[in-house]
Amino acid sequence: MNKKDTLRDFILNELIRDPDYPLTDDEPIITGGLIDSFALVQVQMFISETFGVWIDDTEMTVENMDNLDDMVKRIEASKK
Amino acid sequence: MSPASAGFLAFLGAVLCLNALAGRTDRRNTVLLLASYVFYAAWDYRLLFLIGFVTLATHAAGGAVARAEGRRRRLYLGLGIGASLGTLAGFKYLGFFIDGAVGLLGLLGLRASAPTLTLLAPVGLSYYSFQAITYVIEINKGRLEPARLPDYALYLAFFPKLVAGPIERPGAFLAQVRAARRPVTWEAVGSGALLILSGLFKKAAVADLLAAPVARLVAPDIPYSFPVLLLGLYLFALQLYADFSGYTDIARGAGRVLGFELTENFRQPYFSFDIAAFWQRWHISLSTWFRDYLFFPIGRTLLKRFGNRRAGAAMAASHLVTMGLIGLWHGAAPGFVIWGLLHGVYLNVFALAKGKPRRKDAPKGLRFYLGRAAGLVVTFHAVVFTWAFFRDWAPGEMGRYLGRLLAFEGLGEFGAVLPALAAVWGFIFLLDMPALAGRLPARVQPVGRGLVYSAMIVALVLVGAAPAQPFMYVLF
Repeated sequence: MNKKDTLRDFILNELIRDPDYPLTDDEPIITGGLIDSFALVQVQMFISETFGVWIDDTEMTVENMDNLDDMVKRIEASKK
Repeated sequence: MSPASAGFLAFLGAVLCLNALAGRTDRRNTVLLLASYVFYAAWDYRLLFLIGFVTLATHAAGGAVARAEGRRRRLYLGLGIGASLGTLAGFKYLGFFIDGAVGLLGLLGLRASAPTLTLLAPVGLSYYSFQAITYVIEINKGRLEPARLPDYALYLAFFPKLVAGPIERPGAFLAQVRAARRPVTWEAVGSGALLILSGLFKKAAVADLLAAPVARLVAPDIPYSFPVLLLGLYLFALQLYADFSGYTDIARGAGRVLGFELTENFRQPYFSFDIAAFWQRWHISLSTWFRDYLFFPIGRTLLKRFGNRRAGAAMAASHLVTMGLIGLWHGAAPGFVIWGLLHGVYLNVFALAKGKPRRKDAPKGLRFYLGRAAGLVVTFHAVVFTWAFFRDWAPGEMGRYLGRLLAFEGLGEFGAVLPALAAVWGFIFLLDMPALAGRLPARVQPVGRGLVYSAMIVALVLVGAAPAQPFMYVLF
């Protein structure tokens, strides 16, 4: 499973708790009201544990993390 | 010197000219720093000692943090945060905590007395002390290089944001201070002037005009009916929003004409469909500060300790602690803390009650729009209720006022009060008109904006004679 699908799986099963939700790559997750600020902390910890990448608190913003595409971009950028 | 006064506008004009004449960025920074200290001294010259201390202490701590490693680094970090937080606590909260300790001892059956300590919170301290804390933390995290002292001093003291924010982040602000070129363009001066006009309209033509009716209606000892008390809270909600967002508009406008872009603080907060959205739109620079430096670390610590299975409890605790402290930030009074905790409860209830998400491609029928309308109305009234706590009540007043409010007497008067309640909604819509006009199709946008700003000028001329009141958030 690639990073995007791994993240999608985590968000649908652990945060939204609706595995059948058709979450697309560019769907707004924060501004669309699918997850809240606390769930962002869970996303941050999941990314750290699963991909070994730490995203700082101040970077956990709508601009960086609002959809799966942006999240993966942020992970790749933090790896460099 | 109130930012809504003619004196401030004359001062801003003079600084604008000197800034333009200074030419090079480093000279402009010197002009702006001196102007900021003159502005601050105009409130009270003794405030300069305070900002001077916080600036020197946290700048030295930031430099020491950058150079040190291990325990020494943590020590300097603690000293830097302590210098800033200690100054804030000493001036703003000492009396509150002494009174609390005496009350607690009383509950335990121990008699204690302490001199009543009422120090006025120095203007602006709540804002620049948080910015100073951010500077030291960011250096410790390795996300910021120590700044030159004059640049850092300007970051803390920049006069448009000095007395009531927005709370700027050091990285973004210092990048503007250090910019090789910071041209003053006609476009920036024009759009900055429109922001200032919008702020003056909100303050002088709305907030100041509402001060007297709010003082009469949000009162503990007059036997108003529930609908009239609700109208008082509606007006207070409008007054607060007009006052604070008006200040922010003036601050951002003044910053822009001087070549600086300050953080947005409001995004039509009363048009939020849920309470979480409200907190993404109200006093954004403060709520994001608490989110980044308190809510996230608390949540992470609790999740690490208790795991994802207890995520609900961890979330509830994080919300309550964070919102309680946001309340305390506003003032050393129980009402502000209750206000914050109530919002923490709201956020928890909303998170628990939220059902499965609606599919993006699901048809938007009548049920969807009714749900949105209900969300808007419920969120607005939930927020309005919390404003009942958000006042500097004398002892006993808050309890008496809430007793009257929650007695729900005279419900039959609703019909008579309804038009006034609807009018308040109309005014809230009017306050957000400049932002809404910006969303019009490009073809009609100039006309829309022209009409909005012309109406603001007319309103200012017509009602500008209302007695000027101090900005409410300057007092925090």
